[in-house]
Amino acid sequence: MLSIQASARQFTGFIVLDCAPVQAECVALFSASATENRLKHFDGFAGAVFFASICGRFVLEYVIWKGPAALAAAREDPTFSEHMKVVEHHCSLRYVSFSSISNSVGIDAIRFERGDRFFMRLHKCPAAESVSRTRDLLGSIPELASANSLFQMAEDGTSLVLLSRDAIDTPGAAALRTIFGDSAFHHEFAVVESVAPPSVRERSAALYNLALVPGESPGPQHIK
Amino acid sequence: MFRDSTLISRSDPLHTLIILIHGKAVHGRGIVLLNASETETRIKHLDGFVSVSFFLSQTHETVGEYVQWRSPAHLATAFRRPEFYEHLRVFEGLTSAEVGFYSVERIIAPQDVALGPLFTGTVDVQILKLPNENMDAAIARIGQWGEIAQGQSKSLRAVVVHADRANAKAALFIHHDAADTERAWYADTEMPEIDRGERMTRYTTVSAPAATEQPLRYVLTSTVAHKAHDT
Repeated sequence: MLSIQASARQFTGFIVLDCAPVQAECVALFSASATENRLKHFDGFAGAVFFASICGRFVLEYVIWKGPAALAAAREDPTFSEHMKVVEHHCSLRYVSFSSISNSVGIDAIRFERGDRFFMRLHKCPAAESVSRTRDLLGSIPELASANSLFQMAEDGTSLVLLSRDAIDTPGAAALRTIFGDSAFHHEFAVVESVAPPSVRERSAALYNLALVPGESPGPQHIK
Repeated sequence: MFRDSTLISRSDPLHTLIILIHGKAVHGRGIVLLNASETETRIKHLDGFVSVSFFLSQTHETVGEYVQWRSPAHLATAFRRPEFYEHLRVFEGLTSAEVGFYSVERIIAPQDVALGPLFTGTVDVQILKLPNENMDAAIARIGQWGEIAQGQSKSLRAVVVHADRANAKAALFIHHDAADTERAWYADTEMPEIDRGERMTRYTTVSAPAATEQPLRYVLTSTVAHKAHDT
């Protein structure tokens, strides 16, 4: 189980996949297994959470790396992308963002346990927004401050992802809309699995390889 | 939210497998996640699949699987498909497994046993050697023990007695209300214990897919690297 410390600042990625007609839980569990058995052993891996939307159509992946360089180095290893090629073949990429402007909001650590529910909102900002103003605004929305939330802002300040335990009520949503515009994507998700970094006792072990069925081409999108 | 439940019923003549996998703690989560993922992505789409419930012990050293297929013929056909067997070699050499093919003989509970989110999912599993002569009497003795154990315990929700008559084995699936309750093991000098699962908690249940769901298509190949891996 993964736990994020309060007010932690990290390098994170948010990836949204449209999975129909394959169910989102299936894709999320597949990615979680590949991460538990393979990806978590890469240097710089700091955690990942795999969600399925309650409607069964979307997967949300929240990944944490120690920095952009660690992620870039991991990407050089062919093992890193094997399971992604399978996922890309079956799903379409709805949204992806990696950024160092990523903070938890609230006073307690955030724990991701299987079955926990979260709301994810994506705002595409009409104009680049400052980080400090964004942080001040998010801190003033009670549902975010009190219920352990995360936000990630694109490096260029043009998009904002919010992950919160509670739905944001009318005043909070109005405040977000005033600055960031209407929500471009808004769904409720459940945690399918979270993967923590390996303990010191665990040694790297590439126990299996994954590949597309011969003759099937990879999808056109590259997720990470 | 998910199709995360199944039923153990005396009236449903399913082909049941109970599998206990023993390994090192560091592999426990990897095993349960890989096996659950393979079942969710591919195996559940094979003809005759009913469900698999996955359990993990508190120490992560034991993984339990309660598997239901429509019939032995369905399982035999599935067993020849790469979607079924590709992942089985991954943890070979790192784990040992006790596998039995069972029918449900008795359910000692007020009603059929539901495995799903509404059940706490704490189970003890015990595999016993049945005497070759008079298996029915031996199974009846286990049933009597189950009735007494349930009558004496406030936390024992159900005892399901399974038999694998071809291989002279019995499997007890003992369901508790909570993880911290007293354990109840069957002891009988005429039925030595073959295997025992440490107290396990349900991880998930994968059941047959909805008509609209599609499998993932890929090839999984076990590497040889782990044969030199000593963890």
